[in-house]
Amino acid sequence: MSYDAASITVLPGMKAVRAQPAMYVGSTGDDGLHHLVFELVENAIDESLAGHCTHIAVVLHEDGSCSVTDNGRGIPVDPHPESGRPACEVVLTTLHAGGKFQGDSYGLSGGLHGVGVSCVNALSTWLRLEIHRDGATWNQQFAEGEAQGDLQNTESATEGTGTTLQFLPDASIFTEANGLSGERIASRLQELAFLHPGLSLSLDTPGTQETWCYESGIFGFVEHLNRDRTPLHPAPIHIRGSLEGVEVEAALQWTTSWAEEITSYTNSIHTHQGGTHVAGLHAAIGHTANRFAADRGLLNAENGEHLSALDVMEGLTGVLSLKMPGAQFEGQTKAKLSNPGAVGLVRDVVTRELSAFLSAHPEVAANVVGKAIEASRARAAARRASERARYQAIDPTTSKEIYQKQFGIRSANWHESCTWLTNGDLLSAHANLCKAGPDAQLLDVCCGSGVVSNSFGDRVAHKTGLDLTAEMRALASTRLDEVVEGNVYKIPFEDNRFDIVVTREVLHLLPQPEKPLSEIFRVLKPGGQFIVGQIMPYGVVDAAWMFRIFKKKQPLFFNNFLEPEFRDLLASVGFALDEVQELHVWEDIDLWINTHETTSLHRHEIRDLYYNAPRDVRAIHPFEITADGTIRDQWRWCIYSSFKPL
Amino acid sequence: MADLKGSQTHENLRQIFALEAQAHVRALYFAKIAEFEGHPETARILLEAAEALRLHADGHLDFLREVGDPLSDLPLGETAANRHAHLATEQELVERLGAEMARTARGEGFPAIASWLETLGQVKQAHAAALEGETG
Repeated sequence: MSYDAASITVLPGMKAVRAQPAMYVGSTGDDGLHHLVFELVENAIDESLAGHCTHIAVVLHEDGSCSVTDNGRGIPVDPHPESGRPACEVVLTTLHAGGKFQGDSYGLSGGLHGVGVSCVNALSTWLRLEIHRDGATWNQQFAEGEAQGDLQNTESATEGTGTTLQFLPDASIFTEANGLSGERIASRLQELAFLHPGLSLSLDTPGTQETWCYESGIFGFVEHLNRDRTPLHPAPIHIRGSLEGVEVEAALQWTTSWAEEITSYTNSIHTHQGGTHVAGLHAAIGHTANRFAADRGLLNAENGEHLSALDVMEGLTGVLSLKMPGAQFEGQTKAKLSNPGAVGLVRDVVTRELSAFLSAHPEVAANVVGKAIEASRARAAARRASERARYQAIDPTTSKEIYQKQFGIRSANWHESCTWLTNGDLLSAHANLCKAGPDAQLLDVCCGSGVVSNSFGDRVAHKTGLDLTAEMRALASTRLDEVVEGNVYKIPFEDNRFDIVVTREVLHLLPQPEKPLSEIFRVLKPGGQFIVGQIMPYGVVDAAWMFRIFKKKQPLFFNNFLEPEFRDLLASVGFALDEVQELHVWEDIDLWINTHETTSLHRHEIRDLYYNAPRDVRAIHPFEITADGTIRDQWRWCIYSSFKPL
Repeated sequence: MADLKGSQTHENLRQIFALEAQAHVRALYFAKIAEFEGHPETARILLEAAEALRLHADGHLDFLREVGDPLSDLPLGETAANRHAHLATEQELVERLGAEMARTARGEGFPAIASWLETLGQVKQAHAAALEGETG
């Protein structure tokens, strides 16, 4: 395969790049800015895929410029047959010029990252090109995409080959960007090192130097992703196979976590939004797990019990890599693979290989399938309970069983299940409202791990916790003086017993919240204080949106409070409002929904509610979605202090 | 030409408009689930179906608007009249959702649905107020 000027095709026109940068690199913010670096790295990866490059070095310079160096063949410098200009200049100044349009210089091209190196040039204040090829060094300078003088042969003898492109992103274009992030580039380079075993990638920034090179491939990648998780089986399942000229490779490892994390690539392009290859993986896993469960009699055949693919995907960390000629993507930044054929190809290869693996390792299969069945049954029980929770017919034994299932399972890593639980500012905000004396008796209702009343420190003399589940009582007993088993609809204490009662983010889970509130009112002494924290919508406009998110997170959700209505509710059982503190706390939504009570489908739907939040919701409710799709929501906490009148 | 208003055809158009408008929303909803469950081809077909349903519903409305709003029976035409009809329907929903329907749900033992309907009543009131404030 020759790679010279004749193998470069010219397609017309790149004038519009500077005028409409977002069309070419996605945005004029940080995503678009980093796209420039990744574009050059992807091009070097293509050289490596073609077998000509072993090292790629990225340097972030003090002046804000970035250089990407590869030890590939060097961009051709001979005159291009159509324009007579050096081929490298054509590549850098012509939109959609490159070696990847003809299909014989590169077999499997990941690049053509939508844009080509010329877009990087067009969007840079300046760009310096250095090529080592045929024993010589060549240089050329560009400004805003235009050549500043001809390609110079500096005549200095050089041994190796390769290309260096150093560019300064044009700040007048990337007006919404915060600058190149070493962390973000490092994470992508590390990912590429896993995807290309043996290829070495390095990043130099002022003050740091790091090199990544792995022989372990995506197998090691999954081990890396799971480094802080508890796996259900010792080593990732490594699947490799090919069908109809497409190479499918996957590494899969289930953990005790609930969220699925599938990272997928096609020709080393990170398909952030998945696509047809991920659909094939889903289908294969669902099919294989159901067949295993049915063969072993693990499912209740009488009532037609069946595992959905989503059930089985829970807790799966997987990397899927496809090498596929003619890959088609949706969107300029290639977030999603769209070849319809990929579904069947991936499904068939993964089904074949995974079935063989599970037959050979029945203990792994039993672990994975057993966990999926357990979660699916716990959810079915919660669903039935929420359907059963009828007006004035709360059956304490039923709800105990259900709440036991809901919160018992989670108690193992309770404090890691969301960030608000242990947020110091939020805990202090509750404690600082305390107006009881130092000899006060405190009751913490639905105390969980007891962190809320624990934060009251020496403000009170004695702390009693109340909780339904044994697991939570065990957690709380390390923090409180006493922890009692009990139901909030019938608090097991006499009237006028406590000086202060606290509870947090519980009442939305209880049908008829006025009943537990009346119980709290009853056990408080006259003049006693009640402190309650709840997450509230910012206004009415985001309330319906939040309702759907919270209900999907957790089926035992019954009340979507609005701030003014919550005051009315407190007043309706007799409390006199003292003051309300408002605190805005960032919550990691991916963490928050990583729980067995949220179905995998609901997790997708929750993310979609954020991705496609209505405009009027966005206007009042702050949340953030990062480039890789993770979500942070700034919750509005309202903490109410009220008193039982004397 | 026959008078459409009050004819059986008018009633048929109203019914089919309601059905196809519902089916449009439902197809979009199903497409999302298909996408999440890993059936991109089905998702694509459902999205195409939703586009077609939308076109049909718009077509029904092309006829219906000549003789009045299929929901409120108020006259339609230019924006002032359309906004008026839209607000009337929203206002009716605010009243029915917040009071009547939520109360029924609570009485029948569906606390979550009651909370949902109450929430919607509030949201709709805010939207209606915004549109009313627009030009008064």
